[in-house]
Amino acid sequence: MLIIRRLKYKPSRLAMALAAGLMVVSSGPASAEDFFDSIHVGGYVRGWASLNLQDIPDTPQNDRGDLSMLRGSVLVDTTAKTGPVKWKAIVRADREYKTDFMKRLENITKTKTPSGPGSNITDQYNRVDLREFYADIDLNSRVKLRLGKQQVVWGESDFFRAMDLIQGYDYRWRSFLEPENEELRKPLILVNTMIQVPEADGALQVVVRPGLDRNRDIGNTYDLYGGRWTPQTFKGADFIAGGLTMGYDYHHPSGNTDHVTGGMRWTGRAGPVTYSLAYLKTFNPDPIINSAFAPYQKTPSNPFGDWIYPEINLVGVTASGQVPMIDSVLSTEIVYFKDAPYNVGLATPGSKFMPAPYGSLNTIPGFGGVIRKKTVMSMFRIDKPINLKNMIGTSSDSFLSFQVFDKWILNYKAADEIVDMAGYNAPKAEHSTIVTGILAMNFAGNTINPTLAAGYDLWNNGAFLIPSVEFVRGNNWRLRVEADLFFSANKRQPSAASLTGLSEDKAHLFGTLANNDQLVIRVTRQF
Amino acid sequence: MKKLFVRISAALIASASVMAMHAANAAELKPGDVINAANFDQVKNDTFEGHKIGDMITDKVELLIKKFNLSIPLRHSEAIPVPQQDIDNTKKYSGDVKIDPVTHEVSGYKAGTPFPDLKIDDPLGGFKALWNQYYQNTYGNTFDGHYTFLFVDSNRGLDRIQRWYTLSYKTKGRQTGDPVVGDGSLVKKQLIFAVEPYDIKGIGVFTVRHDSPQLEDNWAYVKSVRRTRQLSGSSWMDNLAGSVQLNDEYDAFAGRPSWYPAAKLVKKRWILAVAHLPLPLVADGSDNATKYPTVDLTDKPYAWPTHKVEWEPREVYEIELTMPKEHPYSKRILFQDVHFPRFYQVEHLDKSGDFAKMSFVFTAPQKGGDGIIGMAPLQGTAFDIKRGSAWIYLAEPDVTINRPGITSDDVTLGQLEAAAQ
Repeated sequence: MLIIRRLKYKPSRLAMALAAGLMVVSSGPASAEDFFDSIHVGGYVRGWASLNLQDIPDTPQNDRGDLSMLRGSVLVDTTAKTGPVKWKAIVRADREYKTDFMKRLENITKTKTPSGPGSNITDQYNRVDLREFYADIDLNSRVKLRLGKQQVVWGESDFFRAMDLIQGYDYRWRSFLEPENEELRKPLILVNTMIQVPEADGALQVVVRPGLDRNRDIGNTYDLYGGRWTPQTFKGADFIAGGLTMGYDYHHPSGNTDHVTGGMRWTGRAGPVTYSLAYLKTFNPDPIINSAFAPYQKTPSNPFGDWIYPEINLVGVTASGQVPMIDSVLSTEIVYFKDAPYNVGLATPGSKFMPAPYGSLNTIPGFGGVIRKKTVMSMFRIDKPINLKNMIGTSSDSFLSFQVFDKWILNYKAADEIVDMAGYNAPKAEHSTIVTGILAMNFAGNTINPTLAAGYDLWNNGAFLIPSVEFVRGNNWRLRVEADLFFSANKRQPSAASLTGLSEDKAHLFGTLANNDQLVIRVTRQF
Repeated sequence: MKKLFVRISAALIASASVMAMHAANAAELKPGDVINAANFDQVKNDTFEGHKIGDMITDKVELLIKKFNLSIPLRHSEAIPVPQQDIDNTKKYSGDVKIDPVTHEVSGYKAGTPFPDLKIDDPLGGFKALWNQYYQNTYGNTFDGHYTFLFVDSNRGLDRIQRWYTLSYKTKGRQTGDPVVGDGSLVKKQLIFAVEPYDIKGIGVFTVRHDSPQLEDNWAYVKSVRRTRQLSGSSWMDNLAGSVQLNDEYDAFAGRPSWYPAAKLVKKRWILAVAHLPLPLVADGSDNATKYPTVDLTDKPYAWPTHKVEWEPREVYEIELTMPKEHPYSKRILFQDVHFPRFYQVEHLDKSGDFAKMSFVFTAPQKGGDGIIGMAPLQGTAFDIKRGSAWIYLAEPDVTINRPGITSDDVTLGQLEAAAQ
């Protein structure tokens, strides 16, 4: 017990090393020769370059055509076997060159909000991480344990996440745009038990997070450091500059990273339908503000407040099935959150949270406190293969998918003054609904693969469009060219009022991505 | 240059020796003789094991020999015994099997060959031959191991290599034990995982084949997003992994026979086929000739077997299959061994009726994990004349029929996710 208690306060690597040691013991004897023979190493060396396609109003210069990212990564994925135990380790090292554009942002950050991590912005991107390290153990023919740092994904939705909340994502370097979301997900140390129950045509999965992770591995990490993906008009402002602006509180009473979390999921088949039922206790994926002006359960330690990840409870169901009559697969995901947290406080006349006159620091939208609301997220999707071979010469059936994703706040009251995002004066509506579509095609024996992805915010007149094409060259080389285009009817304008969020009260999700259009080239040499 | 000289010399010597032996009159060729573009017209009236060469080579294969550099070394044929378990099961169960003359669906099948006595004049004979392969095939109750896929441009050579692992589990038509596992609603279940290259590694597909006309159920585990997604079963007419092989060409023929509007048993005949493939097909090595000793990746169109692979006379049924109107092809001509349901060759005609693609399946009798002899699809080539591309699969040494210890519980949707790395 002493060891366990101590581990909870030690870096995760130590915990993993112990787990690894235990696994070696449990795996029994295996010859060194067998072990070395079982080792298989794969991975890639990858480089990105992205260009601004628009001038970014947060800077005085014209940024159009400037390099916003010049990045390189090396990923090494190793598998091995010791006796009955299979091992997996993935290490990724990332390095970025500080482009002139990034230097400009950094200089603004140093001026506006000095001394925070955003004052050396490449520190946010330059990482060497043991991303995954786990052992697979077959206890018997039905029960498999996966122990260690890993990714576990539940749910069905594309682009958005309802049940896929076991882990958070690192959106700092590429927002949500990297196509392989395994590269953005933040793996956690988990005890993952998978039990096959063939008599019931299903499987039970129990996932326990013992609370051994590094603090920063919890929840989503956004670019709050003033970098290239900081929401529009806030680029060059560091919201993690402790002592000056805000900081993370990972040990808040409502969300403590040391707490044990986890859940269970049953996946099965009933006739033509594949379904899953899940319960999960986890951390709110997005950080919310524990405002210094309206503290929530604990007085924050930073001048404006602390970012916290409250724990939440959810139950969810997914279902999918083939409908031959329309040659499609229909899918749905419905998740009920018992206690989803939101920030409140709108700078509007009559606000019960924001004392007029507006524009002072204690009237920043969303800094009026926290409210918990029952919430339902739902998704409906249709996937359909379409044959474009004769029409445009594709080499395989193309993939067409449309999805509707909705977030519904139950017992919604406008008087709650829930903000869509802290710092923005746009109220969150009862329903937030986004329609997305994907058309993926293949040409030349699946060696030229264009994809068109799009999304539209039904209520707020915002959208994204991501055309891309990937070229496959032999076994090793891959080239991806992508444009990230954002459209928003309402966006904040850089002005004195922008600091307090008052320049626009209709800027929702796509408003934060305004003026951020990018052209991205990615080259991969895999091995 | 030296290699080229040796190769040309060997071809000339082979051709010259054949021509010298059979200068004017038909003669019996001998094992080791090679039929190729240079000598085809000289040897087509000759015989091998008493069968006229020209009669054993279809006009499509002749075209490949003359225009696409296919050459065929000969070997003596060997009898391949049918496993006693299949003979016993056929005797025991085939009397219960019925075929609907309208829907072409089959009822009452449990194990063995459903239609052991095929008659050329039977209007349902073509469908019966297809059902024999669909239900029984020749590779036991289970079949698992790694495969190497070679993607070939017929002008430029080898383009890409992929490696996959497959595990196929028959739930109906089992050779040993209970002939049917489960409630009888399924024919088989299959798991496939990509192993290499890295961008596809971890992709997995779980397929359930129903014993009814309904489409197969497919789920894919997409490693890059770490999630399973159900796929439409209508992909059975689509290209496999972007290759020139369609999904319904797995082991020559993988569609449910009743999905096709017409199938005619044309005749019995003899062809040259590969039924005793030399193993291994994939080996350690630094160059392609060492790694893939049975594939000629040196000479155009980089799709054919090397001369290590020898062809032998096999008596087959010729079956003409009419494709659904939405299918990329209009017709297929399939050639199935008369002694057991093993296809060796499929000729694909496009919508205009032109010869578009050839599929060869090369195999060999192999002792399974339970000692029963089976014949798995060990090497195959799909050569698309119009696209100028080929796709070749090669069984790696671990491919095993009836590996002990595999159960139905090892092939489930849950295992797809549990096994994914």
